[in-house]
Amino acid sequence: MSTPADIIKIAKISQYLSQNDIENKGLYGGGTDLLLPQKIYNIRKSVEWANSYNQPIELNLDSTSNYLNALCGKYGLEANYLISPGGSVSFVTSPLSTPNPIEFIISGSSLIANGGSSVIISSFIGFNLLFIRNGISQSSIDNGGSYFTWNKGTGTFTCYPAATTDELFQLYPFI
Amino acid sequence: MAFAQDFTTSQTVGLPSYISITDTSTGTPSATIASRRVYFITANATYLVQEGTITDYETWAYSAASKSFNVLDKDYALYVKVQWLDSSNVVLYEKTSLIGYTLYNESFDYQMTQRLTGNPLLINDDSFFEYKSELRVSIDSGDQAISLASNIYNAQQAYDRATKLRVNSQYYFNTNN
Repeated sequence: MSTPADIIKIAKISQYLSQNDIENKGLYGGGTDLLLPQKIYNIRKSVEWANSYNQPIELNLDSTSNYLNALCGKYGLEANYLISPGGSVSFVTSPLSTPNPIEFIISGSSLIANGGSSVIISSFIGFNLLFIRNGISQSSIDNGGSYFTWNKGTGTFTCYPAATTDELFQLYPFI
Repeated sequence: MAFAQDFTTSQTVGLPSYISITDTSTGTPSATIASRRVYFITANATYLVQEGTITDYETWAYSAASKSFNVLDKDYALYVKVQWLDSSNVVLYEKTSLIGYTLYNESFDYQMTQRLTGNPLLINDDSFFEYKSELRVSIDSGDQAISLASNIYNAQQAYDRATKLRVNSQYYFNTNN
């Protein structure tokens, strides 16, 4: 359950989300209340003032902050998605920013050289990895054949067995 | 360490007429401080004092770190001047701050918000939100006149606009809903 402090943050974000949405939708704001951003601002300032005092019960803060949350409506849901519990803006990965795949043929000078098995691909950090070796997609489970390991936190890729000359490696990052 | 005179003020919800002052000075005074005086100076250059006080100032014993003064009958922008005196009432140190006291109108604005929680559709009432907005803008304007321009006259004018809405609320806010 959101605290009054969380709802205040949500309202601050909902204010500009709603105002921009109304502007983008043109005539009559696409049916959205044209005064909604002002209403959110007005009620948020009031709740924020009450929240600055440490008297939540006397000031009935739960009711007023819940009202503010309801006033934010769908913009509140979007705002809630944008903030983390700590209050900072979460990193949201956009599909448009997914790195390009890497393809290469093993040689003495390729990304993984002949006889090598490991490389750090820093541009793939944070993504999952699909590894295709010689046209066959690989598993990260060691079942006795070839497989690979991928640490999305450090970007460390390791293949088993080691690479040999003329093998085709295709590495595809995905969310 | 040299004496650095300073103070803070605050208000308590439910007691809008009171101003609480706390001495936050640091260091050692060059002479013995015996007492303090506090002046609450309005935009009209009048002094606010408690009922029964015949001077322009309130006394504040040096032994007390904090003291509350019942001086407000509405929201004010005030120059608060604190003097630190020796036993002969010679001013040793002095500090003045311009401060906005908005508890009357902030409390009223919050009451209007609370009223909305009981009747959410009230916000769509033509005059209700229009005047609630004016109330909010007036309080904010007063605060900004102080924080951005240290302008007591414009601040008081803005606070008085909010006060007008508060004391005449039966004409501006649909209280029957």
